[in-house]
Amino acid sequence: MTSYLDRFPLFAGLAEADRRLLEQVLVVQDFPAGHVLFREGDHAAATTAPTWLILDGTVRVQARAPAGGWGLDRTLPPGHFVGLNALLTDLPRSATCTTASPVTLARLDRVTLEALLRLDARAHARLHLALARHLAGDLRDLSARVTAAFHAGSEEPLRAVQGPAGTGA
Amino acid sequence: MSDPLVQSLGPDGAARMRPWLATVQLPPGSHLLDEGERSSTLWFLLDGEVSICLLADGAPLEVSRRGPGSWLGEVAFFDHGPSTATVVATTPVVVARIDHAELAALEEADPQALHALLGVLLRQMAERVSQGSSGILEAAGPTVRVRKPAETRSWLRQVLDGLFGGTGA
Repeated sequence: MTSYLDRFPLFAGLAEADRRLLEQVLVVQDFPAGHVLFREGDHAAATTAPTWLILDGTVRVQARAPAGGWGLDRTLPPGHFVGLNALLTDLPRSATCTTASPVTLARLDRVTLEALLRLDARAHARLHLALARHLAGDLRDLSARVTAAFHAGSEEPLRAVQGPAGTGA
Repeated sequence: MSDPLVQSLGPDGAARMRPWLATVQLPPGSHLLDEGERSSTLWFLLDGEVSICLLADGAPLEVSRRGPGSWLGEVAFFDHGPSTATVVATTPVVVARIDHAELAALEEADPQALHALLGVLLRQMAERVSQGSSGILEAAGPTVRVRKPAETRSWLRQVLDGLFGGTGA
């Protein structure tokens, strides 16, 4: 039997046993279309602010550009996630996430991580290594884009309205 | 004088990690990392200063300077890709280091030590991704003001400083 986490590139480096263990502590929830998961600028309670893993349906991620309009506007399918910042930092939400269709999501928060730690400290450590790999990839992509713009002496490479594949938000 | 490792990881985290970190002194001009080269080492700066440079038109361009308490080389260390910048000692430095084999051993022997290390690194990396992404949004949107090239490079240099762990000031 496969784990629903198998489809997430974020967890690709985890052994199947670790994915199954993580499944035990995740809470799966359904939401209708048009449900606001969180808003840009929200400060959420540190321990329970969720990261949402998209199991079914799509989620729209939008962030305003300081100059007006949307600087980020993309819709994410299953296998992606939103809200990782809340798991790892105390920063306010960097985007608004709204369900674009009826969705099934799995909730990951600091309470969940504590539950995983109690179950298996090594699996907990390996999950954090997977998160580190993911963030390293995001930093690499961002610095490559900004460096390319710097070399070109132009903001043009940065102007596309998009965002990283799995968003922090 | 406070211990940079204790300031970074807390007293318990520093005590757990210290046996796993090899400390070395290096003279000015020493390269800790070279842009484009693979690296299996994570560095922690205990004393001294380093310059973070990117190659621009074949010459090194400094984008950030870092002092004691800085973790260096995280991106290449965690995603196993090439280093995104060159890091050079500008003064005599004292650095602590851990490599991939030691990290794997740490995961088995003391996952709580690994948790202490990753907790700090994940927060810092997530903050840099968030701030870098927000910085890039300044260039986005339908009504953005077009900067002159010199102004663009100055602004992008600030964004790069933030991405490489500086204050982005």
